[in-house]
Amino acid sequence: MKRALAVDDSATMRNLVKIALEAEGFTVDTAGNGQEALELAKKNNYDIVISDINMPVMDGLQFLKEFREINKRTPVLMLTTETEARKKEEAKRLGATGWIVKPFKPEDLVKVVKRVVR
Amino acid sequence: MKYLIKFRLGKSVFDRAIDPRFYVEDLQKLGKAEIKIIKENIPEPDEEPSDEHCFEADIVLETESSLEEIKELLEFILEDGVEIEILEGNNEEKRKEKNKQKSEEVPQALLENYKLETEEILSRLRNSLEELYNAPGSLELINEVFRSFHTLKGNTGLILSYSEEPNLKYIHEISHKAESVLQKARDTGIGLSQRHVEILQELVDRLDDLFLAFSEGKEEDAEDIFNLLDELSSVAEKKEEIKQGEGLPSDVSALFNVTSQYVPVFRELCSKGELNEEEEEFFRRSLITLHKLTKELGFEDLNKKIRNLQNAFGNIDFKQFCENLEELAIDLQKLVDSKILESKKEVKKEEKKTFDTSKYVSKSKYLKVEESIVQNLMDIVGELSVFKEWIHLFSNKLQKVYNVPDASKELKDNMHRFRSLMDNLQRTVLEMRMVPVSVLFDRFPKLVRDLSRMLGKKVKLEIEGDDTKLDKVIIEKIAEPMIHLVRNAIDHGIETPEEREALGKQIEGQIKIKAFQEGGNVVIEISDDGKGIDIEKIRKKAVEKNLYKEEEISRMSDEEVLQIIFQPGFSTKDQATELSGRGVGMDVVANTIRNLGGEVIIKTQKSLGTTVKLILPLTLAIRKILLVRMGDIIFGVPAEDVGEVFRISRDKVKSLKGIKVVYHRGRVLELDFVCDRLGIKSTSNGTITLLIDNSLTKGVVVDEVMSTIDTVVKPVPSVLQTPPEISGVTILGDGSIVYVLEVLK
Repeated sequence: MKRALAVDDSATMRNLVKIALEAEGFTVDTAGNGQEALELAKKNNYDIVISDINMPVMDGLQFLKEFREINKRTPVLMLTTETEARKKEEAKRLGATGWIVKPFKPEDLVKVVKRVVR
Repeated sequence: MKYLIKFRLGKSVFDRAIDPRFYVEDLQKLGKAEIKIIKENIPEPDEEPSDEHCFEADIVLETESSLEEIKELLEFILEDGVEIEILEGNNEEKRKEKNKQKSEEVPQALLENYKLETEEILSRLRNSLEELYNAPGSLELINEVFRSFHTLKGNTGLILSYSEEPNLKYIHEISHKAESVLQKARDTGIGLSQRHVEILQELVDRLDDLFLAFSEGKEEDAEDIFNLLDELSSVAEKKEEIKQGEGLPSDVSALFNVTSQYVPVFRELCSKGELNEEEEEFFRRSLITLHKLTKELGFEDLNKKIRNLQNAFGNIDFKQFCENLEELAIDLQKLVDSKILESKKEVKKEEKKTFDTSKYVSKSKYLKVEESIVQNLMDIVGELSVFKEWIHLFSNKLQKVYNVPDASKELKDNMHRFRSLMDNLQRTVLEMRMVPVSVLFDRFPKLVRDLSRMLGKKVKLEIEGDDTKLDKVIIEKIAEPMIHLVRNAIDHGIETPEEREALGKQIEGQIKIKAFQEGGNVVIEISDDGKGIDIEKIRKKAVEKNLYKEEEISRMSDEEVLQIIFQPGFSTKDQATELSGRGVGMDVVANTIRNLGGEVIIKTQKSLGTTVKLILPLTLAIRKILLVRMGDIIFGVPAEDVGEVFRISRDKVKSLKGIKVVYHRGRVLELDFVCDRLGIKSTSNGTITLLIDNSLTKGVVVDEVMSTIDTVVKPVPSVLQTPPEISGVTILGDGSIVYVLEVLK
C-alpha cells in the first residue's frame, strides 16, 4: 500500500487531501506544520508528500528544504495559490516535484498525484 | 492533431524526484506515440543526481488532446527542457469550453468541516484583532491575522469551486484583500495603523454576517464591503510611502530603495527576451550601481555575484543571464528582509523578551468531538446505570434465591464504589455537552452596536458571567429568543439620547446581560435602564385586540397583565419599526424557553427599566419524566410538558359538539383519551386523572400518576413502527422499557 503525508495547517485542506488519497488506496498521515511533518518523515517512508506553503512554526518551503536534505527520491507536491508565482519558482528550486493550485477538487489532486507516483 | 514533443531533461528534474518516464507513459495514453530515446541515464533510487544524469527523447504523438491539455500534463517539467511543436492540425478547434462552470453539490463532510473551521477562524480573528488594535506594529500578531485570512480564503475558494455561492464570493473577496494588505504589512515590516485594524474588525463583522447568511441559505447584500476594502488598501499605500526606508539603518534603507527600484524593471525586461541598446545600457549601469553599493556596504557575497553577472552579461545566453539575475533579486530581497527584521528586533527588544512561543503552538485546550459520539456515550452511560440497578437486584437474589448470603454481602459492600464511579462518569459525560455561554454572548456586542446605530440610540452593553456553562443544545435554542430580547430592549426599552437627556438620565443607555448558576438551573438576565413597559398600554391594547374584555382586564393585577405580552400576536409598539417582523415575538420567546423546561420571568418598573429572566435547566441530556399508568402499561410523559395534574370524577366530563370537555378554573379543557387511541383498556372507573398542558387548553386522561424520574430518553429505534404519540423510550432500573409520550405539545 502506498503511503502519503499531507501537511497543512488548515484541517479542511488536510482532510480533503486525506479523503481524496484514501479513496485511491493510500494510507495518509497528516501534519499541521513543517516541523511535525519533518519528524514524521524522519520516522516513516512516504511515497508522496503534499504540503502547504504558508504554515506556522515551520513553513512549507523550509520543510521542503530540510526534507530534501534527507530525502531526494520522494516526490513532493506543494499547495500554492494563483498569486504565489514566486513561491512556486522557489519551491522548484528547493526540489519540489510539482504543485497544486488551490482551490482544487479531490479529483484534481488525484490526477496530479498520479502524474508523479507510480 | 500531431505533435513533436522534445524532452531535454537534466539534473534539475532529478533533484526534484521527477521520473521523466512517467510522463512518457502518460503521453502514450493520450494517443499513438512514436518514441525515440536519444539518451537515457536516470539515477537509481538511492543515487545522488549529478550532471551525468539526463533524459533526452523525441516523441511524435497523434492525439485528440489539445495543446493546452498536453501542456497541463507536462506542467511540472515544461520549463526544464521540454518543447512542444505542432506538426499537424489546428489547435483552435480543439479548444474546449472549459469555462462553463457547473454547480455541483459540495460533499457533506467537506461542508461540515468548512463550517466548523470558519467559525473557529472568525472567533480567532476577533481575538487577535483586539490584541492587534493595542499593538498594531506587532509583526507576530499581523502574521497570525494574516494566516487566519489566508486559511479562510483557501477554504472558501475550495467550496466555491463546487458552487458559486454569492455570500462565499464576498467572503473570498474580503479574505483575499485583507490577506494581501496584511502580507505587505508583514513582509515590509512596516506594520499596521489602528485605523487598519478598525477596518479589519468591521470586515470581520461583515464576514460574520455573510457566513451566517451562507449557513442559513439566505442572501446578504454586502456591496458596502468594497468601500471598506478600498479604504483598507489606500491607508496601506499611504503608510508605505511615508515609511519607505524610514527608521531603518541608512545602509539598509539605501539597499532597500535601490532594490525596490531595479528588481521590477529587471523582471520586466527579462520577460521580453530581447533587449534594445537603451535597455542593455540600463542593465550595465544598474549593475554598476549595485556593485558599488554592495562593496561599500560590505555585502561581499552579493558583491561577488554581481561581479559575475557583470562579466556574464552579453557573453552568455540572455535567458541564462535572467535566471542568474532572478537569483540575485531573491538574494537581495532576502538580505533586505533580514536587515529589516534585525533592526526591528533592536527597536523592539522589549517585545522580544516577552516573545511567547506558545502562540505558535496550537493554543486550544479543546478537543473537537462529533456530537453523535457524545450522544452515544450518554446512551451507554444511561444503560450502565440501568445495569447498576440490575446488580443491586442480583445481590438480593443471591441471598434469597441462590442462598449465598456471603457472596451477596460482599457484592453489596463493594457496590458503593461502583456507584460512585458511575455517578462520576455520568457527571463527566454531561460536562462534555456543556459549553460556556460566551459562544453566544460574543455575538451581542456587534448586535448592540448595529442595532443602536440603526435606531439612532446610544447603548452600552455589559456582559457578566459569560463563562457560565450550559448544554450546547440549549445554547443553540436560546440564541434567537435572546437576540429578540436584546433587540426589544434597544428598540422598545432604551429611549433616544434626546429623551434621556430630557429625563435627566445618562445619555448612554445600558443593557446588561448576566449569566449565573442557581441550583440546578442557569439563569440569564437581560436588563435595560430604559423606559420600562407601560402596563396601562398593555391593558388598552389587549382590549383593542379582543384578547380580553374590558371588565376582565380591570380585574387583573399588573403582574397578570404583564403576562399578556407572551400571548401570540401581541405587540405594544405604535409603529412597526424596521426590526419588527424579522424575528420571533415574545410568545415564541416564552414558548421556546418553556419547551426547554425553563421559565421566563419579566419585571418592569416605569422609567427605570425592564429585566427579563430566563431560568434554564443545566442540561437536556437528562430529563424529568412523569411515569403514568394506563391500563396495566406504564408510560412516560416529559414533566416540562405538564402544567398541572388533577383528579376529577368521570361524571364531570361533558360532551360539547361531540368533543369531550371539562370545565376547570373557568376554562373549557378539551380532553384527550389517549388510551382509546392506543387501544388500551382503562381500569379507572369513578375518577380519572388529567395531565394538563402549560397553556391550560387540553387535558390528557390517564389512570394514575406513579412518580417522576430523572432519566435519559432515547429516540425510538427506527426499525420499530410506533404511533406518532410515542416520541422516545427510556429504561427503568429494573430493565423494563417505557415509552415516552409526546401528547401535550
